[in-house]
Amino acid sequence: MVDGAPLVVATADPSLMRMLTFALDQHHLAYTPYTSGSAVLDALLAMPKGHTPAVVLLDVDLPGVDGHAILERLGVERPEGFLIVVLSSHADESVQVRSLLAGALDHLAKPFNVRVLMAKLRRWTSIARRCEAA
Amino acid sequence: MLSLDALAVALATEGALIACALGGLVALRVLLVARTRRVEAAVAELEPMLHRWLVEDTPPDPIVRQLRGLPTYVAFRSVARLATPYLTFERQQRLAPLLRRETWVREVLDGADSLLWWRRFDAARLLSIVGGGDDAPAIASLLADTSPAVRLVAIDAAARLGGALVERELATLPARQDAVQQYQFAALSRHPAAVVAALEPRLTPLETPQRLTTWIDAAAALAHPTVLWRVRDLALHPDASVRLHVARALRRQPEPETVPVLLRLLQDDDWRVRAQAARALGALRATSAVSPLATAVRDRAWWVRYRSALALAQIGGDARLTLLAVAHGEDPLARDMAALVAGLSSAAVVEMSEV
Repeated sequence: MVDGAPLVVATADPSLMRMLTFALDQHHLAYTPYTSGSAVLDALLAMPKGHTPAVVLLDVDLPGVDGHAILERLGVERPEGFLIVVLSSHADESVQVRSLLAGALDHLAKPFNVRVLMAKLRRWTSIARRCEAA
Repeated sequence: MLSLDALAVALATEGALIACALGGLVALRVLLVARTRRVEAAVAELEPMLHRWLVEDTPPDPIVRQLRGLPTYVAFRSVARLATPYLTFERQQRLAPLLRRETWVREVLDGADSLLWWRRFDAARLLSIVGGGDDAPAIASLLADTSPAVRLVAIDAAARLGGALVERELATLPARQDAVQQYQFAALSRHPAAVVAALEPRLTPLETPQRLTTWIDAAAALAHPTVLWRVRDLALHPDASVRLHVARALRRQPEPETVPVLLRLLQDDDWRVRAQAARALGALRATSAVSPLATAVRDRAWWVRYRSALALAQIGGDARLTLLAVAHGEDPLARDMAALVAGLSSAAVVEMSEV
C-alpha cells in the first residue's frame, strides 16, 4: 500500500522487476508484482470499485496482453479506477502521446531515474487520495 | 621375454598417462566450474549494488571494485548489459570517470585498433558509456569503420561527446538508409543543443532537395523551435518533395503562425503535400482549419480525403459535427470517407493519424 493506495507493478523484465521491488522495499512501499499482461489485467478488473485508485506501474512489453491494450481496456471498463504509469523502452513522441491519450498518468521511457520515480510515486499517491476524497 | 616385459612397461606407462590425462581433465573441469560459479556469484552481487547506488545514491565505489574482480570480458558484458536499460545518461556520466581508471576498461578500449571487428565493436560499445573528450580520435576512427555494426555503435559514442563529431555524423545522414538514418538521428538527438547548431545552417533553399528533405526530417524528429522556424520558411520551396516534408514536419510546431502556412499547403498542386498538411492541421488541433478541412474531405485524391477526415475527428468538438454533416452530404466520395472515419473510436483516430 502507498498510504492506503494499492500499488501494482507489472513487468516481464526480471532485472527491472528486481530494481523496482528493491526501490519499493527501501521506501517501505507494499506492492503486488505481476509478470504477465493477462494476470495483471484480470487482477485490476477484479479490484473492488469505489476505493482509492490503485497506482499501477505498467511495462508496455508484457506477455499475453501488452501494456497499451491493458490501458485501453481499463479506459473503457474502469476509466477512473487506476492511476497508470506506463514504462516503455520507446521514447517516440507517438508512443508517448498514445499512452497519455489512452489515460495514462505518465509515460516513462527507459532508462528512467528510479529515485525520481520514487519521488513521483509519493506525488501520485497524494493524487490517488484526492481522487478518493472527491 | 624381454619384449613381453617391454610391452608390459609400455602398457603401464600408457595407462598411467591416460589416467593422468583423465585426472587432469576432471581437475580442469572442476576448476572451470568453480571459477564459473565464482564469476556468476560475483555478477549476481553486482546488480543489487547497482540498485543500491541508483535508489539510495550511495557511492558507486563498490560497483567499481566488484567489476575489478571479474574477468575483463565478463566485466564489460555486465556493464553493457546493465548500463543501457537501467542507467540514465547522467548516471553513466558519474560512473564513467571511475571506470576509466580500471585495467579491464583499458583492455577493452585497446580493442579499438584491433583487426577483429568484434573487438572494435566492444570498444565502441564501451566508449558509448565511458567515452570522454580524449577519445574523440578513436571514436572518429570507429565511425569510419568497415563494419556497419561498429559504425552504428560508434554513433552512440559520438553523440555522447557532441561537438565536431555530431557535425560530422550529421553530414553523413542523407547518404544513409532510412532505418540507419533514424537510429543515427535518435542517437545524435541526445545532444539537442549540438544538433540544433549543426542543423540550423543546413535548412536553406540552397541545399539540394534530396539533402534538404533529410535535414527537414531531422528537424521534425528533434522538434526544436529554432530549427522548425527554419523549416516553416521552406514552405514555398519550388520542389514538391521539400514541401511534402515541410508539411509533415510542421505537425511538431504548435504555433499560431504555423496554421496559415499549413492552410496554404492544403491548397498545394501535389496531393501528397495536401494530405500531409491535413494531417498536420489535425495533429495541431487547428480549430480555425475546420472549414478548409471539410472542403478537403471532398478532394479528388483519396489520401487527402482520408487525412482531412481524420484531422476533423482529431480536432473534435465542432469539427466532429462538421464531419458528421459531411457524412450526410451529397458528395458520395466525401460521404463515404466521413462515415468511415466518424465511426472510429478516439483511440483508433489517434493511432491512424500517427501512421
